[in-house]
Amino acid sequence: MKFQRFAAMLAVLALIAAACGGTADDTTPPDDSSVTTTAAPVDAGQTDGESTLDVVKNRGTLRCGVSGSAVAFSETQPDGSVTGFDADFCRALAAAVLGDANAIEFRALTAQERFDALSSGEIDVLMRNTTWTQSRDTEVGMDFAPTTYYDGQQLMGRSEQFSASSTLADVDGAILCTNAGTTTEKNITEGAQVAGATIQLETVETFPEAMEKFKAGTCDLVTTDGSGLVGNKATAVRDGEITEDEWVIFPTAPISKEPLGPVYRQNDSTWADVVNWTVYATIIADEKGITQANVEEMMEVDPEAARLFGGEGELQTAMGLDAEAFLNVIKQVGSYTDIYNRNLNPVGLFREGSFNAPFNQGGLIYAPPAR
Amino acid sequence: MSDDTFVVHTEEAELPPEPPPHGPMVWARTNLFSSVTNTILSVVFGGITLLFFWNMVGFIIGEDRRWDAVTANMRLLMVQAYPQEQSVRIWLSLAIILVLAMATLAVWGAGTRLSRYAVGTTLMTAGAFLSFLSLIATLHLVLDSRTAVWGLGGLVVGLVLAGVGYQMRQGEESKVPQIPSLMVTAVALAVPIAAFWVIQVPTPILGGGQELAPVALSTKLPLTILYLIAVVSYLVADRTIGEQERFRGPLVALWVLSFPVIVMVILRDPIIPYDLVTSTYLPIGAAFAIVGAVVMWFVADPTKKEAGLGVGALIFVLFLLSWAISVVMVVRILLLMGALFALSAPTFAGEQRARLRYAGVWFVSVVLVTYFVVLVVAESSIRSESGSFLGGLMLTFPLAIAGMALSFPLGVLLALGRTSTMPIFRLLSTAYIEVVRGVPLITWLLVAFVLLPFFLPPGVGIQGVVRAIFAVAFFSAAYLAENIRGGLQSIGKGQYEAAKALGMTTVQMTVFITLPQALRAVIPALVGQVIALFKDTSLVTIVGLFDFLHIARAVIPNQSQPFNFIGVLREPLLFAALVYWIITFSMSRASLRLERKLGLGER
Repeated sequence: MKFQRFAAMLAVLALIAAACGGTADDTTPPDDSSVTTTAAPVDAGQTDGESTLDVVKNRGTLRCGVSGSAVAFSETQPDGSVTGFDADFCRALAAAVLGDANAIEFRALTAQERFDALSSGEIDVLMRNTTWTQSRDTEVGMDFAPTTYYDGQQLMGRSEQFSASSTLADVDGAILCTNAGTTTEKNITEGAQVAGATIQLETVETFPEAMEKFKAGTCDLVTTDGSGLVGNKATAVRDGEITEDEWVIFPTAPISKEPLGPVYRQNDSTWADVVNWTVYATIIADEKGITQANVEEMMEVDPEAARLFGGEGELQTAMGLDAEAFLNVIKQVGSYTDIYNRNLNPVGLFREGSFNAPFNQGGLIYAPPAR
Repeated sequence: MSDDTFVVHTEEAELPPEPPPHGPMVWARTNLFSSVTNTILSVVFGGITLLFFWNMVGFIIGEDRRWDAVTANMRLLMVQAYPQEQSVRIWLSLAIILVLAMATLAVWGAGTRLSRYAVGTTLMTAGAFLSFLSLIATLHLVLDSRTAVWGLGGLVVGLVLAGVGYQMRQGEESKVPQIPSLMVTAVALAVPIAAFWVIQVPTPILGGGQELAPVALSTKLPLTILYLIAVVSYLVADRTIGEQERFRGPLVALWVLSFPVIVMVILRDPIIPYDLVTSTYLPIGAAFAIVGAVVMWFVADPTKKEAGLGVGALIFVLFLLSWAISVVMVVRILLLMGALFALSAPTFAGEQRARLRYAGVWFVSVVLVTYFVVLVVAESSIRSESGSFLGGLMLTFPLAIAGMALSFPLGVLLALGRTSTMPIFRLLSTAYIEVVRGVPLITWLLVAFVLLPFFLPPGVGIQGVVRAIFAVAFFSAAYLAENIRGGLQSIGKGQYEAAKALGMTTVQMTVFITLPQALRAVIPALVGQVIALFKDTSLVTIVGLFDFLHIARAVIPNQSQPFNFIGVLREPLLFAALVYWIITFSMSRASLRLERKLGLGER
């Protein structure tokens, strides 16, 4: 009797386990034709010879990690689609690899989980305004594509207290608001220490909350990447909340360097080349004045453009792409300027005079030659 | 000498007792100003309340409020990226749920009757509150014609409501319960439905600014149709299957089936890979179903008690071996299921009928499991850029429902395990409860998302939403287990002894005597846990799922194009709070009704 009861109990427990096990198995990503052939390698740091390029081609869609809630970089629209500067580079990559800028799945990632999502193979590439740092490049096991946007942390205050020429030494005694969990917090603490200023730091969860506090006067200063500050100020001006010079952004030279660009798993050169040259293709197109509108005419005039955007295209086929891969990028998404202006001009960010101007106009955006 | 001698008969004694003095002044004097301390407290807290509402209403109707951020993003908040041209699938799902809910209400006879007095009281309170808010709003507004009409309109409607309520409370017969409560609910719900056709909502204009525009037809028409479906299906169900116990079983089965069908079939719309089905799943499923049925029929023979255990162990070894070779996952699932069925066969063994039934259950289970695996393997035709077809409130609800459905049986088992006399179960349950409960839910979510991919065998991936469901369910089960254990401990020793005296086995005692009483006793705690779980789902934002709150809090304030909502945070947050409150308040009301129905607190 005892034994029977025990067996029955065991069976019930095992049934529960089965229910759980069954469901867990059932949750293999739905786009795989068979459950045993899930494409995602568990740790692509040690890929068994298969490049992410092949994985993406077999799957037919690119999985791109974005933020989903970063003004002008990756915004979720009222209809659920994702737009923005980062999102457009995702589309450019999808156009290069798959020939279709819409063959894409965006994965919204938080700052905490982004690198794990990449190293576990859940996403193919990370374009989530991620700063290129030494530790991320080395110990975290990431590789970085060329920087697509040079940002830098700045501060914003009211013009009664600060001016555009203020420095970190002037913020002594001020209450400063920022969002927690990013390098922003660390940068300002270190910077103020070096400048010999004491600040009172108030951290909140998201940047809009920091702005709320700044507007309410709870804090004298807010700090985040310059692009974010410019965007928030432009909005406040447009909504008539403030006049153009009520808020000032300083110091002129940002207190930190924030080179933002695509990130992929390390030790996957085939995939790295594809991502890098997709970015370079948009930059080269920009240098030559090629845009979405005139790319086909320019190909006939310019030999480098002819090499990069088609013609014989053996440079692309050698990379494992179609000969017309980069033509698709320009035609479906656009050149660097197209992408930049479309997404960043509306929030008050312009290329002229910034680090993101072309290298021959004093900026840092530069690409090696295509030949 | 009789007692009458000492009783003085007077005229007054014959009269009915004087009704206690009533009226607003009396009420205020006895309740608010009965002493100096009370007067001070009333004035202070009344002032604070007034100030709160004054500022609150002022905030809501403020000139520069961006309520258009909420209305423009309503679809995002509700269903995130679900394609609009497919939204009929969502309405269909809601219709199915509503019809089931109405049938349930009818079959269980859930409606009670309310007295005119009670309804009148509610109307009076609501009307007075509406007038109060409208008055504040009117005072706030610069009296331009448009807004003043709305403010004064609210005031008048509120006063009329209060007056109607007052009239309903008159007379002695008003205290007799005679109005069906469901009719009251239906009428109350008709008000917002009708309002959708009348009101205008702030809508953003391309290029800046906002205007008042009617609610989109694609919102108000389906909602109205759903409302009518609900009313009609209740009336039909009440007349046809109303309060018949034999429909309860099938209804529960329909509810259980409805969740996978709605999520996996209707919302996900799988493209069934027919060639794969005919080449792989159909043969595998058929083989398992037929061969397995014969085996189950064989082992469910009470004279071959040990056979089931032996066969079960053998199949389990096969299951373990299957991981060494490359085989379709469904084979492994079915092998595991077969092992469990064979192992539990002695429990269900019986004469010919029982054996046939056991084989039949196996057959149906195989068909269902294989079908479900096919559904999962099939690609979804819903193309959404966000990679998941669930999002917004449509993520919050499935998360909460699936989390609850999984955690409840697990919680019951854990509670039984922890109160068990067998040390191994007690130890395992206690360890589970203490470990899971000792770590914050956020941590479990991060474990499920960040660590799990490294623990799973290569080639097995689990979708984000499912990981979140499991994290939430396993976490909630630990709390439920403790609640239920509390209930189990509240049962008197006499109940156990009586059950034993009747010769009941432990299982019978648990299923028929102790568990029902324990669950009934802890309904308030269970509902508290459900509400907590519902709100806890908002934590999935930490792992990048776009739930309702995350959209309100992080997505909307970061939109710059085509409408500029950068930094618009307060309005979406207030809206989110309202929605959460409405949902949890309804849950709490429903549970109160359930408690009353079960006579909780009366025994």
